[in-house]
Amino acid sequence: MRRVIIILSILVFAVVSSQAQGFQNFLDKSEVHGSFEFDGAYYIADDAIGFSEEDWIKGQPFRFNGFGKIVYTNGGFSAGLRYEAYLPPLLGYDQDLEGQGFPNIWASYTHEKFSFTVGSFYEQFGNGLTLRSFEEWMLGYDNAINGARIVYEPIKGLRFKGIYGVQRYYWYKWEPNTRGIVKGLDGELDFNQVFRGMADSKVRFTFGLSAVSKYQVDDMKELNLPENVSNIGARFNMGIGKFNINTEYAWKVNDPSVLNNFIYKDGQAWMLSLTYSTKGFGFFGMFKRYDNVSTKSDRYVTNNALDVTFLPPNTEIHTYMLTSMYPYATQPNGEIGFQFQVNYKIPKKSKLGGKYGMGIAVNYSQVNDIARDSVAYVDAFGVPAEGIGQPGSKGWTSPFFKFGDPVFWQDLNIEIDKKFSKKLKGSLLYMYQTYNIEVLEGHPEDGPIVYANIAVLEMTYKFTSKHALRWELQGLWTEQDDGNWAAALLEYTISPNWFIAVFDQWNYGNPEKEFQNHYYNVSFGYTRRTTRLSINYGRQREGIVCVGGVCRVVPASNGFYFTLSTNF
Amino acid sequence: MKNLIISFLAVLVLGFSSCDVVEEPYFTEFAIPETEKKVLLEDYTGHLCVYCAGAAVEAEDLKELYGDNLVVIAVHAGFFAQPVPHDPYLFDDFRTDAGEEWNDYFNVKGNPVGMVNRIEYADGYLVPPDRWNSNIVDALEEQVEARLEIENSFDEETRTLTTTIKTRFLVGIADPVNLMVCITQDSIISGQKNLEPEIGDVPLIEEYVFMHMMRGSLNGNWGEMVTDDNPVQVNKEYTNTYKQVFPNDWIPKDCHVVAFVFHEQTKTVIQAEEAAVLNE
Repeated sequence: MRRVIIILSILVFAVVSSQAQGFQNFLDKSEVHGSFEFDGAYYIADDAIGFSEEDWIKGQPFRFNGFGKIVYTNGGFSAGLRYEAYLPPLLGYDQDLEGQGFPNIWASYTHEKFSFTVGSFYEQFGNGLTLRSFEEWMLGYDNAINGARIVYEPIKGLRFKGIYGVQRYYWYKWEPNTRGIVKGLDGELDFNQVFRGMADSKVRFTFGLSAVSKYQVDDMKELNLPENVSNIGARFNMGIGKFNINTEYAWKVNDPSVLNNFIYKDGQAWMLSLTYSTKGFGFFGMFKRYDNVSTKSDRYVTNNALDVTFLPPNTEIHTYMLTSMYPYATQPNGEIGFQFQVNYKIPKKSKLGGKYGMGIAVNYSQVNDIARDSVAYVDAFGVPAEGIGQPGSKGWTSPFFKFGDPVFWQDLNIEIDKKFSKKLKGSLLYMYQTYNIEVLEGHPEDGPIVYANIAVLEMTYKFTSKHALRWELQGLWTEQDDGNWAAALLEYTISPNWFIAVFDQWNYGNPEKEFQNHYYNVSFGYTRRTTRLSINYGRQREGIVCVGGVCRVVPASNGFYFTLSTNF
Repeated sequence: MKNLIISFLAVLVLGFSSCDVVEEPYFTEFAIPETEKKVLLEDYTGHLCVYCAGAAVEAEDLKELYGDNLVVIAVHAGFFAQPVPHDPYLFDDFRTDAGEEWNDYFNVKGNPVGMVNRIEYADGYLVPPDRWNSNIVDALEEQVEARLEIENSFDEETRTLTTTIKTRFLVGIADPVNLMVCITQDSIISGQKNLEPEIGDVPLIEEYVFMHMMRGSLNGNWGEMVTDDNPVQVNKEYTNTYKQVFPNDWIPKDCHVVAFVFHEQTKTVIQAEEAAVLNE
């Protein structure tokens, strides 16, 4: 703590000294912003859902995750710090997070064409196929880079970035010859800003190139490991009227690691998305292919940490209780898939649209394994062999556009939303899902594939402009995994400050009668300006929480949960 | 325009210049050190863990590779070692008091994972199976600081083992040193979950053969001090004798006595030894 205060004091002093207009001017320009969040839980043993004192609570019924972030700005200068505490972490979060301290401290200065940052920073090149460092509180995930960053913008529309550093790994201090060092360069050119002839063009075009390299010492006796691994990407974004196309391709040299079973294959990632939108109609399509692109700055790490790259998912993110029961987790070792969505608004005063019109959205996504053929290699004992994904081999060969077996995921959903009157509106959703639970959760005994039909009906009735009642009825029908589920929710809102909700998820179709549990819950919340308090009591079902294809497993639990957050 | 192209090319040059493309053969030829050093590999495992069968194969391969220089204990402990009542294949309880305590002490949260001589590395004690080999080689290259000798006699009538451990230190060690003695057993057949088809049936290997399974300790969860002398004396032989009545499911011909001396404070193992219960 003393170190933080000294650093900040020096930085503040430096800025003070540099201000010619004097101290008052300095104070006038100063701004301080921040945010705080406290998520706590008091767990109560509940043997009916397998949440026992012995296996889960272990004498620590109270747990909390919290953070506080303060950012100071003064003109082109900014500095900040972030405090975190996991004492101990909530269940379902990586228990390596246990501890408290200041994981992130940084200072940044922007002057004319240059911007410099030292300390912890987040950065993304393009879509993230070569580099993305980010923080996601919901996942307990933070792969901030600790080092230096320079951004140079020689002319408007042309920007270069350079980064150098090591990534955050829970509370472990970086030491030589442990996790790797990441360095990268990125250039992006906006043709419409740089070339005068295109300034007024209907075609908007940007182009980018990035190169990221990681260094980790070769510390393995039996394999010759590459110490420097590069990942190079190219991308463009083009808008023509109502169309927009975005694509990025990245290629990586051999990067043997625990995650790919120490194969020496190069890696390729490609994503392509197309959007079209006009009044009342929208289309979104996406294709992606990932082949051996797991990239971490420590080749031995397998948990949710130290990712250098980010692989955007191409599946719809569902938020209802039962539609989000089986979320998709990106498979960096290989997947190929596509998604499209059509949104159409049936006009007002038409036969189907009625007085207020009606919205229809159809979404389909599918992800398969890539097709893989075996390769010849020489094993550890010098014996010629053949196989797929064997350590010390080139891994596999794969036809680029061929969809392999098995299917990982399919999701067809149709959602209709309609306003019936000034007071009543509702939506109806049907979804058919194919979920490879063997690959995505490692539970072959429950499948291997779950086929589920899901329906959701949601209605909202506004009593007055401030008082509203919302309810949901949901059903999930499957013969695999835990069988059928039903769910219901009632939520009463008094805008803009209060809400209270009760809901229940009932696993009435579980093949084992003793596991036909209710997961009941009651919650209320109070919001005042930027401060929000919510308190829940009830059972949480076992499941998976995913954000952007990155997931964590949540155990079944019972207890009180509360969140207090604010920002200024 | 020229500068623009040069700038973008610089990005690509950095990308290509900072990479090592490794050509075949990828495996190195490394020599097994000739040493008296005997290293302890602990494989923390459980019959509910779907990747533990693969890790056990790795441990067995390493045992074959290093022979007497490697002592393996498969510690069944923690969440994945829980028995499943009424399950015909997974009802066995292979947990031990010592194993459970070690599991908690070393903060084992997931399996498979192991420890090599209980050395604490920069990222902790626990080592994934892919790193076992490297770490074993490193440990074998360390100085030999002690020798252990195990003498066993087994009374078939009373099913009682008498084991004598003789320890001789080759260097002075200032901090307290403990001796741990336990029993391992091979060839135990029971169910094991599995998600790796190349290892066995998926999702369950019904008749899996467990090797090096920790069955119990002869002198507590953390052993006991080799001697009351502190520090231990160089070249003096310390003798410790223990008796153990074998339960019915401990098959003497499949059992070994495993002994190791370790720093009481850091838990780092100094030397390990293993001997069959029945002399061949």
